[in-house]
Amino acid sequence: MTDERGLTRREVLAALAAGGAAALGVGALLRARDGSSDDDLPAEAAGALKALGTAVRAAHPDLLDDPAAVGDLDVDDVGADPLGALTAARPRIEADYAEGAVLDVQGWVLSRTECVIAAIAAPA
Amino acid sequence: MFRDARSLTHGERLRTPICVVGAGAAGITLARDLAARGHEVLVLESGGLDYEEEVQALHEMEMTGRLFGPADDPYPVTTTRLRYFGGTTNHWAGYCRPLRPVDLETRPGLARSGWDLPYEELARWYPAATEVLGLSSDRFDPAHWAEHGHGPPLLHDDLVETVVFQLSPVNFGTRYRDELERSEAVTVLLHANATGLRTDESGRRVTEVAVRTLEGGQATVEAGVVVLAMGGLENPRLLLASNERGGIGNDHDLVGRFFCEHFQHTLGFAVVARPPEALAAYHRQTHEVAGQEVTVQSALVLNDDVLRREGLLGLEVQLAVADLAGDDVPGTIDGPTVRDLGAVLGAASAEGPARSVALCQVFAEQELNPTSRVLLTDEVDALGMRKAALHWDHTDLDRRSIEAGLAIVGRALGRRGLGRLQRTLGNLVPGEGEGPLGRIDIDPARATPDFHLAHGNHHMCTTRMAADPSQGVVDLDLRVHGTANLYVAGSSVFATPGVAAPTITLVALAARLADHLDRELS
Repeated sequence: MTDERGLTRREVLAALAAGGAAALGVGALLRARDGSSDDDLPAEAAGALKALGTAVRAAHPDLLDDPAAVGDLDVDDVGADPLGALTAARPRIEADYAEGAVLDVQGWVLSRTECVIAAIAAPA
Repeated sequence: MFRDARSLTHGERLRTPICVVGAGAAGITLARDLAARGHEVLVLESGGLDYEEEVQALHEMEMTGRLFGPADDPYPVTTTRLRYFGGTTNHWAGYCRPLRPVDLETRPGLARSGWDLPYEELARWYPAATEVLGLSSDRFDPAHWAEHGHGPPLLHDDLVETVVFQLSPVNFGTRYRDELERSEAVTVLLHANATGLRTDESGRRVTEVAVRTLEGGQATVEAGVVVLAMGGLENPRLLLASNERGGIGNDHDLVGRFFCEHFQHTLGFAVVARPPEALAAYHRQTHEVAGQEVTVQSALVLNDDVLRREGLLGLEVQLAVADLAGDDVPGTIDGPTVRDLGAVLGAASAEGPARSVALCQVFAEQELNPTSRVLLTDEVDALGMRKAALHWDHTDLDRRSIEAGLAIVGRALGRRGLGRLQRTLGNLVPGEGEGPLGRIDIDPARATPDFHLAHGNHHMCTTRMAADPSQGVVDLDLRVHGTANLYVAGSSVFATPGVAAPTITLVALAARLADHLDRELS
């Protein structure tokens, strides 16, 4: 199902991933439909990121103490908007995969950067 | 023509220029090809034209090693091979894909890797195999099949490539039965079990094949040339059982060693930012090519340079795809779910959130391990022939290659923002969903470094090919080292297993052997 601008829920999420939420406008985001409520979408992704972060913390308890892993990520900024940080870090995440900077989290092969962001997003 | 050994006179002697032992894919290919070149061939087949329980029981063997399943479902070598006309093609799935050049290369870090046979020489015979197997083309690349409407590859780059299988519709037992029944050049002797090879005094020329029936009948075949085409377990068994000096062709204690399989198991899931229909190429698809319906299926393999650089064994991943929004999604007992990772992907990737979940069915190459081998026991079967025993093991490199190979597939997905992959090494437990994927849950606590590996029922390398007699049982012409007229056909001659299903390659090698014998005998 689409809204009057032809946007599906997934397209809005894709736009969010591309940093395009501001361009679309919050109204467009809230109007997007595919059968679930509008405003639980970011919450769904945020909840998923926290679940992942909890697993990251369990598997790699020292990750946030590793300067090489944290790099120039600002923990406060990431904590305030982890999904936004994830989107902003997309080139770095893809570079992690290209270079083999990946971690095992319950079998998931994950970029070190996205693991750091997930760990910050999860309650300690 | 067909004859039945049970109708022979007890002690009857048969004479033939060429005796092929075994009427499976390799034996039938050889017999047809040689007959077409004007040669007379006698084919010995243990079974009849249909399945018979007491014949099949001749496959029973003792097994040891670390790789077998639960006690009530051990490695099923008795039932997965079929012992009647047509052999195991009577129930094969038909998957065909040639080996790639890298499969035949000597690769750094892999002991005994590489074939002495140049790839170009093997590749020369794939078109003949294509014809025998009823395939429409000798092309197996996604670009070719895209021209026939096959879907685009998900990955095809310098980490992970997409390859395309063709599925052969040919069951050798039914496809070639009438042809061989009408043939004047080929005699297929049914219910004829080869129980031993006899040599002249030098031990270098096979003069006779001893034949027995389950009814107690005995016969002898005098042959100018003998070709063993009984499969990767029975070929070494007959060689080992054929004299009192440790077996024919066994001067270097190599007959039966290096048994290899293709590990085959569900060892991962991927969430993918593409709808299921965009991944349709990874399921079986039927296309019309020149008026013929052809079934093909894509799969992922590691790029050749990755194999060389990382020192890994080959890995192939077939995908079973479901909609991530549907009910057929694997669960997770604890920790992030596939849906969680799908949602996270939406923020982390320009491709958007995941829309599909793909079960990763892994097919993996084994390294050559001399302790994995076929041996003889002191127990005898219903024919009085010593039974075989199989010791089959896996190595650290076998397991490490699967783990590392799946991680590379995960990296390839992540690098392009296409998805995330979970390795489920030993974590799978019964789930509650209805669909094939939904019947699986993942329990992180059950991950194990010694994860169970199932099998593809491909028996390879037990009479491996090598130019040097100290490294292999047969030479590059597939003649048993140290003999003048004894040859072996089938996947037991593979120098290394590679990662593709073996039938098209063993048929290609059988066609090449027919050409060699034709030149030798002419």
